[in-house]
Amino acid sequence: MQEKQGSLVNVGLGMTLGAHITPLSRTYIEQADVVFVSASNRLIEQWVESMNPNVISLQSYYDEGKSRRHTYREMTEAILAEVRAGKKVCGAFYGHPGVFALPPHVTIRRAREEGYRAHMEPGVSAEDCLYADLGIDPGRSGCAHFEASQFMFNHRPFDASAYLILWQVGVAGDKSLQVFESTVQQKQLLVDLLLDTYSADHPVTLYECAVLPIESMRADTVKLIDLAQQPMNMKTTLVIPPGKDKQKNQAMIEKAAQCAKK
Amino acid sequence: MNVIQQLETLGQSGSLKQFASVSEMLMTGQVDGAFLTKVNKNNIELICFIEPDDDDDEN
Repeated sequence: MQEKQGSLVNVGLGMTLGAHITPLSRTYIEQADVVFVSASNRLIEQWVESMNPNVISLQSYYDEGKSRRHTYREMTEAILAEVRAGKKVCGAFYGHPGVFALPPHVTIRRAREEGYRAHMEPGVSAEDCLYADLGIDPGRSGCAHFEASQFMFNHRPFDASAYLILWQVGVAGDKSLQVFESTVQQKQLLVDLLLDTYSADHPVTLYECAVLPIESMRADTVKLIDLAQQPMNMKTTLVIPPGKDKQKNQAMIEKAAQCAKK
Repeated sequence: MNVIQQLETLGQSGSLKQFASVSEMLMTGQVDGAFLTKVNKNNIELICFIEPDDDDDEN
């Protein structure tokens, strides 16, 4: 199929203004005909506007009481409409555009299906910042990531000898997708679920990375039993360190030794 | 230099982690006292959810 004139690139802004954007992502923003921006702070939007005056904020699609599924569909259609109009479109998303973000993936897939050039460029994600800020190396004990409500609403077996990281914990237990913070009772359901695996006094950390270079990150460590009462917002991530030691698989160790070069 | 340019320069040139305080960071970056007032004026948190809770509706 011959490629059509419009194009789409979804780029990451990184988490902290000025500090994380890649030169390539900046170039795509500067050279686009239109830039759609999804940012966590008005100052970040203004920063993108300083790179390209033709910025459309995706904020207007959100509304309390409106399903975010509907919001995401509207965002997708708005972006694709500009691509179909033959424009060079850039989606600028906070953090990494492909991590815990639905519209960037959907718009690229659909644009390609319709014959347009579309791709993604990575950005520094909240996960990247978390490792640096909390001093966690996921390679040491392993690390599992889940969206908090998805973790609650599905049977997700996980290894308690690895880190467990739950994203969007501020809306944990909300199935409506119509609110921007879940209730203490909904969060308590998450705590109760975690208590099946971890002790009540197991330390857990509420993490938020810095959005502005003059802000500090948040890393509040509390006992699991006290978690539901803690303040959380849209940016809060729950970090649960391992609750038990790794168990050696001696049979595998011996089999691997037998398979080794002599 | 406007407040966005100042923030960008600060973000590109250093990390708060290397300073004892925001004041020290601003002093090192030679940023004037009115800067924080200007930042606070537009320091408005936006909604940043772009992920549904589950993968049963991806279209």
